[in-house]
Amino acid sequence: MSANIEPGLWNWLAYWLSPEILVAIVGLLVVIVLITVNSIGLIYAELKVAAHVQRRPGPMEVGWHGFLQPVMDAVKLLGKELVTATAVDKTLFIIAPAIVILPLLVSFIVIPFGEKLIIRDLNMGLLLIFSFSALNVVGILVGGWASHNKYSLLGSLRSVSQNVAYEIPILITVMSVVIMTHSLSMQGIIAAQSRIWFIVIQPLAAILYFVASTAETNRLPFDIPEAEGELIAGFHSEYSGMRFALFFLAEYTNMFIVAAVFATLFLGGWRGPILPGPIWFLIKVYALVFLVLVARWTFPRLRFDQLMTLAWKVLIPLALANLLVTALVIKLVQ
Amino acid sequence: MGLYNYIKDIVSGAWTIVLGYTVTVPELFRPIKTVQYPREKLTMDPAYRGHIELAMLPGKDGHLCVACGTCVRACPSGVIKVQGVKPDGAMGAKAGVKFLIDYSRCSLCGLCVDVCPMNALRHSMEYELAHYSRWDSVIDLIARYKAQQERG
Repeated sequence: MSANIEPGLWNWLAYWLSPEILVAIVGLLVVIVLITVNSIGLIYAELKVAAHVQRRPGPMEVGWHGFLQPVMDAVKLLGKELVTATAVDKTLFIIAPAIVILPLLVSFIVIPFGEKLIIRDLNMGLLLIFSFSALNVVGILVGGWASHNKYSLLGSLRSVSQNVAYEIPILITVMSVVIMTHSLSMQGIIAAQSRIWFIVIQPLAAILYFVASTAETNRLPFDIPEAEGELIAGFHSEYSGMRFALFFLAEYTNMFIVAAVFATLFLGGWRGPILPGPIWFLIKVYALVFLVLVARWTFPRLRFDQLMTLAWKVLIPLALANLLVTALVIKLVQ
Repeated sequence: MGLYNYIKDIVSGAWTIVLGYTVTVPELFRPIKTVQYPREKLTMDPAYRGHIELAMLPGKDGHLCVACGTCVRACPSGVIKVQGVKPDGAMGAKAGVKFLIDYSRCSLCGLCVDVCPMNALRHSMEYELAHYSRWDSVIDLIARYKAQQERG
């Protein structure tokens, strides 16, 4: 009897497990592992950087130099109760963490880790990253709204206004790179930097992108949405256990993606001497992440109106001027 | 003028980003100041006032206490108890054989150290003074002195 079933099963599997689908499944698994490892590593880096800036040793007890501390934190969060307050909008409350994390998974499709190490080099890859990381904000808004808590709501409202404000300078600075490369594909942009990195040609755009993307990831000094002193924890005040952990995971993944885009746009992506491409890419990404981590202990948090002033009165005009000059120069060179 | 100030603000603001990093990044690589307490022990300042102990005499095996009781009378909290005996057949001074303090009520005023005619007392460098019961805080200074002598 089993002989009758098996060929059918194998045919069925062969039909569904076509190479494309296999690649997709393996890719998804790799991305999920990467996100987790990246977040755990970044939490450890965050603890250690914070400690050493203040001349403390940081976590030292769990594992060698506290190396397993973030792992134990994750285990603790896994074991915690998922508290759902009675007043919350249950459906939205539960799906909000998913809305925050899922778009970030999509962004990994087009991140070029190496010459061949990219899940798919879409011809509008940059656009895909920016459109999906914008969805992140929807998750934050939904989470804050569903929490039925004034602090959560205020936090998510701030997050939305901040992200809307900082999305504009990011897109304009990216545009000034794109009109130089005539390509939205990540590999195309890297190929255009074979002779010289764009950070040399476009230093202003690089700085603008760095500042605006730090704000985009809600990192200090732009962490208005979760300003502890004012809003408890902002949009994730009501979340506990793994739901809270998903927000955290999203924040660290977002940092990685933003740094990866910076490395692709301005630092020549995986290009570099001697070492293989993926290692160069990761070195560049984590160097940028390190700068963001140190920024937390370097700059005081901006007030909300200062934040808006910085975006609308400084970053956007500068980005526009940069775009204008770039376009002019390209036209004159041609 | 407005445009000039606007640009000046932006340039000085951008410069503060660099300045900020030059302050914090070197701080990352400077030595750590905090002590990993249970793993590392603190070295106390010479002026630290712990509970009292019998002063060590380098090169001798006895202490200086003669059980005169001056410290017992001077103590405002009444936490000191001293007992002495005359050595067999000896003339003159007694030697302290029991010296107990109840540290839980000691106010660390240091009067006993000041009044001691033999300069037998001093403040210790002990700082781990938490106890499980209040009887644990009764410290036998003679036993402590002997233990210190054995350690050298």
